[in-house]
Amino acid sequence: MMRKILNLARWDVIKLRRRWMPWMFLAFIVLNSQLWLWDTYSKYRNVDVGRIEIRTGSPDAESGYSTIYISCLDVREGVVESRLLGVQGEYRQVALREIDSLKERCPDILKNYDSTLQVFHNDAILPSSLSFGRVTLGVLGNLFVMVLAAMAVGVEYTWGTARQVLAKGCGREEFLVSKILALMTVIAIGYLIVMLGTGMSSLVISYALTDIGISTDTVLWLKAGISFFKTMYAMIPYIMLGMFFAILTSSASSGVVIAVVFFLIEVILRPVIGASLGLDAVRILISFNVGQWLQNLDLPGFNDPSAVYNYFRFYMSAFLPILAYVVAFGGASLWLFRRRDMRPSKGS
Amino acid sequence: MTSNDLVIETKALTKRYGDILAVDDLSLEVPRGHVFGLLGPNGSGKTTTMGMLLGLVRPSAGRFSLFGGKTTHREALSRIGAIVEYPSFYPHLSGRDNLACFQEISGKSDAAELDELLDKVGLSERGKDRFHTYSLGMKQRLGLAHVLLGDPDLLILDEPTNGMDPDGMAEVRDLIRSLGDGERTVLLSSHLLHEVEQVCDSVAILSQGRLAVQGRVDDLIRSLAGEKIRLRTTDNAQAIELISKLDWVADVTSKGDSILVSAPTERSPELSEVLSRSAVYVAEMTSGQMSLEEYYFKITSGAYGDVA
Repeated sequence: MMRKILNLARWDVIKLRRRWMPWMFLAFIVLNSQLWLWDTYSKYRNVDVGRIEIRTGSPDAESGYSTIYISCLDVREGVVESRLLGVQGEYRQVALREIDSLKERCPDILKNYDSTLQVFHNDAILPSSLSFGRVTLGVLGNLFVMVLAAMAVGVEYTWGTARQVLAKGCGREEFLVSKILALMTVIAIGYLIVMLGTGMSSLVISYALTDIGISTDTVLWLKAGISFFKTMYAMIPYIMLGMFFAILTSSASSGVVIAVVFFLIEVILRPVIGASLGLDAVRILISFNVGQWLQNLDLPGFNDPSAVYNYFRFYMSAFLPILAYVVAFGGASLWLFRRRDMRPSKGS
Repeated sequence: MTSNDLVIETKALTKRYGDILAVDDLSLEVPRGHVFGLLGPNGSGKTTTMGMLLGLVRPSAGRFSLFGGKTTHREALSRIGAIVEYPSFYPHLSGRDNLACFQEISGKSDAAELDELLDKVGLSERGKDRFHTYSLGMKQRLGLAHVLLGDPDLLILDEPTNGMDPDGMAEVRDLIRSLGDGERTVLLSSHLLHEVEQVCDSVAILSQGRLAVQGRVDDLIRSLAGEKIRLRTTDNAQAIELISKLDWVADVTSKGDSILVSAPTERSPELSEVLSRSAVYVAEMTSGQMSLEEYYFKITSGAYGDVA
């Protein structure tokens, strides 16, 4: 049985690979993550650190004015005096006045700079950049997964190939499990490609364009690894939903349309339910739970039991509803698929 | 005939879609090694019956067994090659990849078999082209290659020559006939009655979901129509008068320039003698057996203009 499922899943991956839709989704997500990454870098590069230009002597016939640059970073690091060595007389007096003026503005400038730097570290530098790819997917990634699942299952009805496969002795449960396995594989490969893209770009950013380098913090690397598996888990309910809609309608196009409508209804309902029934009511929505599940909380110290308890409680309160969605829609899909007749196809 | 000799046996098989009775109390017996034709007008339940045998459609009542009921249904399916309705394949995969895909579903991987089958159905040149570029005839050919994967014991073919040109149809007819030689059994549905007549050993005719008749093709035609003698004479009017007086003749009618006599063919010499004694001479005498098509329309009362 396992061999048959793996064979089916392998061919399902091949079938998905030869369609344009997964590639289109992947291209969109890679492009999106790269744009966000380089936008973060550009914000970091352009952040104002209060740099001022100070003339330090008379104009030279060949090189013009002799100047030095002082920023709030120099002020914070206490290197201003050393930078002014050699600046004498009237020029020194002017420079000191300008630096005093800069020092007054520096607390605000440095606060802004530090927060931008933090964002840059979190998003654009390895290993944090690896999980940044998932963040850039945002809600659209979930929609793509749902549409992909509805399409992968629905076309088997539309083309009449499900009848052909089942008539060849393939069990209905084997058929569905192989589809889930194939979709998980394709999504994992797609996500790895997104991670590879952001990883390579952040390497370029780290080494070629800045002096920040790769983080050696093992906790950050651990979080990046965990983020991958968390993302994959978050995708399963959307696979189940897409599959369920396709089986319910016995059609690829109808399944995809219902998946998109479901997605939009959730987006619209979330603020409406939140405002009218309170935040607890929003917890029934899959998108809320997935959003909570994908949050990156700092790992607690194991010497603080209450922090550890709260950490796991936070994630379990999202994990369990997601699991309930997976079981409910997966079970309903299997029940419907096993029970229903495989009627003639609706044409290709 | 024992259950062991039957590859397909259905007992009171019934399928109801809401108020519509698609198959009604169908009891069918398909012997091993036969090419068995399933005939009936549109909506007579042929495809639904095939769907039930293949586990695609759940019967509402009744039961069926495959290969004498000695194996589980899933094991039985692994011994069946089937195309129901029309060949359905993945349009963006090549013909060869489609075959490879279905071959691996059966748990095998044999590239030589794929090449051999593509060659057998005349698709060697186009095997690497995507399925959606195929003509309907080529799709049917790939469908035939598909049913032959793994050398199955039972073939279930739903209108396998649909969309083929005359040459292709003749080739497929020969292929089906050769496939039915020996131990292999073929269950064939077709709307081309002369094709079924040429290819099938036995037929079952369904009408409004019910089995109208089942048996060997020649037995059926003989049992319903008796035997007929067609003759031309020097004086047809007088000949009809003379023949109608014979007590062993069931019926005599004029048809164009011929006379159609319902009588056992072995009494042809006697008939000739009676006529010649009255100076009416036979110019031509042939056996005027009914065709399957005539038989089919007689069974279904000719109520259906379209046969499928």
